[in-house]
Amino acid sequence: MIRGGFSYIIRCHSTSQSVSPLSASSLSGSLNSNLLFDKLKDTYLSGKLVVKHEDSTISLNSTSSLPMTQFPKDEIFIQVSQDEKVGFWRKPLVKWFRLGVYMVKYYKKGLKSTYQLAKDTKPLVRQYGDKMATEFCKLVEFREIAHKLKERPGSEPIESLPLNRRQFVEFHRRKEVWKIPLFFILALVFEEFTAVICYLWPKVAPHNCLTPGAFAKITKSHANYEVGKIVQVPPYKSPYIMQTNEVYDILKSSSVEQTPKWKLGLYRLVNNKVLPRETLVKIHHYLFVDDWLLLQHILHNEYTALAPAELVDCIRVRQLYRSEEDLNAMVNDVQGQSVLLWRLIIYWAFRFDKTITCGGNSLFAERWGVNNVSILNYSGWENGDLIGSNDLPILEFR
Amino acid sequence: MSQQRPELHGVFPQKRMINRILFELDSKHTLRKLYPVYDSIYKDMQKGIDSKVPKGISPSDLMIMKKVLEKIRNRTKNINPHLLALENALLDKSAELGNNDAISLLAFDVLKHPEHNSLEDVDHGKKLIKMLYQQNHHLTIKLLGDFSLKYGNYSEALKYYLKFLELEDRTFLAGEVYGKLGEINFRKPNLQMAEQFFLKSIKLTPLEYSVHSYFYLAQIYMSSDPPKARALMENCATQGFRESFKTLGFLEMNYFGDFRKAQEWFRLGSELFQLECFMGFFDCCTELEDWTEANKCYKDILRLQDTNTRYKEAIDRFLTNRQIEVTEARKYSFKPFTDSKTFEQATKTDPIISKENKWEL
Repeated sequence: MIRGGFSYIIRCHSTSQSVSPLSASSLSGSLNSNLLFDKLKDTYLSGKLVVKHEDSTISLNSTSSLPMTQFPKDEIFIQVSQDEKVGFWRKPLVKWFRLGVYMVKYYKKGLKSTYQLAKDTKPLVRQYGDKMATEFCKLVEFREIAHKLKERPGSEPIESLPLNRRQFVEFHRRKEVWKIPLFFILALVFEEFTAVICYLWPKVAPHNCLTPGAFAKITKSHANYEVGKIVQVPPYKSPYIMQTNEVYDILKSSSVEQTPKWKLGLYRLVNNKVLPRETLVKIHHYLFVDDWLLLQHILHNEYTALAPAELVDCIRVRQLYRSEEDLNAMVNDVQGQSVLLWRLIIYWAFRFDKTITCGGNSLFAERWGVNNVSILNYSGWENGDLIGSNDLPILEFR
Repeated sequence: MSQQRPELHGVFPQKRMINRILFELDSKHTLRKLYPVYDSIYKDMQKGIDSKVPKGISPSDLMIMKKVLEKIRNRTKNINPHLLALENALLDKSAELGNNDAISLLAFDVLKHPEHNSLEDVDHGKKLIKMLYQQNHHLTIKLLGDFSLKYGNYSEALKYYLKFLELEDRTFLAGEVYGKLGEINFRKPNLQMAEQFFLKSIKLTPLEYSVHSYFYLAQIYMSSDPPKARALMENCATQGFRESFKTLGFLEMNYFGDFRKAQEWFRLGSELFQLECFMGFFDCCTELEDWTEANKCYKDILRLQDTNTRYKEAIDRFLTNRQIEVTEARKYSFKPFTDSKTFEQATKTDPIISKENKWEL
């Protein structure tokens, strides 16, 4: 009787239910049976899920740990042009000087926030070590089993986790603090020109000190080149079943846990099979818990406001973009913002439909198998492709 | 019956092992002093007379002597009827001399099997338990919890266990109680609490007494932390825990992709006639293209179907799903070629047949 609840361990090698990704044809047809997609679509179209900078939901967003989405160059230049106190002959020089000052302040603020964040999350390190995502994954499972066994689970929310989404992502982002010493020296030496250094080698800067240009360089290097090339939903693969090269490819492109090349080289040299795979599991757990926390908030609250920077980060870590796309430019454009949000909705609808998280009756591990990393960054759209602005009319059709 | 008992030195465990256990139990006497007591009680037990305990041996020492034999029984997973009888004689003697632990154990033994005892004995047992409970006797409270749990009264069991933990929470017995509390919470299910209790249990109790805690913990970690689950389950397997073999086999096969290791776990499980292990073994063989072994396993499954009708449905479903593999496996005989001509001919036409039959006779 007791073991009945865990019988899925035997089924962890395959997804027993047939799963099909969403597509334009399935959405226009009458056979669309993805209830979560319908729920999220209604939530979005009725204005309960929005993207805006002001009044963004505090328990979800941590904008101070994320980089700017818009470079203020044009704004500063216009201000200087309109400033009558600045003589005409001085204007070009003042424009660049003010931009430089702005950048120094931006870096200072970024460093301060990174340090503060590391300080604030220190007690959590003592409590969870580096296993917070795994611990939370386990807690989610406990809560979902308890929820499933309730007499009338209905639409009431599942018991929440000990931390909210903001605290969870901040804990994950605290590792940026190790970049401070090197960056501090660079900023001291190069002052205003640190921006140039950061543009050339963007990874030396803490994440919240990046400029949109440097950020674009990073996102390009971590793009998922499999987008649009996956003919069918990948079958179950645990990290240990996956081929070593496949594991390394995912680790190289992942934004969640950035494994340096030297480390991967070392793993390969000593033929370490466990550590790279455990990193992959960590990535899977992080994304799962992040998705879970976001979905719980969206589905059980009247209003959810994601900050643009947070939306960009969600898309970045899930690799739901093409290498040529500039996420910051997209998020500052109404249509682009909409495209990004729809990508996220489709991704969630594909992964979480019919799971207890969203009112279904199977655990995530039951639906997809234990730590199924083959669908790690699968977009949920036909051929593993991403939707573009052309698809918006179909998606937004009521 | 009693006259047929062998000499004690013939059945008594090794001196080194006894001394180690005495040390673990914090005994104030060594085997040199205790062995004559063992011997005299054993001999008197044979003769059917009441034995006299030498001066300097207290009732609690007798209980320690009993625990030594009990530990050996648990560790060796072997019950020697003569030593078991000695164990009971020691318990009786200790109770006679007024040891509360012994009285409690005997009283609960009566209550557990009222049909084997007279009504008077049952009433007397109840009285003794009541008296010991009023004295806050630790073991009695724990045994009351066990008793309630056995009859499915979880809330009562919980009450007694928590009371026991108020009295002692860092001992071997507390470890057992934590394990029981874990099981109660696991059934509810309050898995977070269960996990905490199981962790405390395995911290306080040696592996052989907390196999269940290891097993449940492994189940709890199965989907969030499979490497941890595997390590815990392997601990269970070292104690010969039946359920652990199939779980380990499936874990190795489906999650870690190590078919050789999985095959070994399934082999161990199939020796205990676990159907799932036969199925897992067959899958491993087909994956490793070890068709001869697969054929052998297929035949074993069929034999199992004949002997146990309960398995019929499951076996039919399994064979329907593995039709192609079964057809392939059946081409490979696991019987040796007796006729050398046929063997030579077979080597020419099919190298696999020759190899398998040449070396795996």
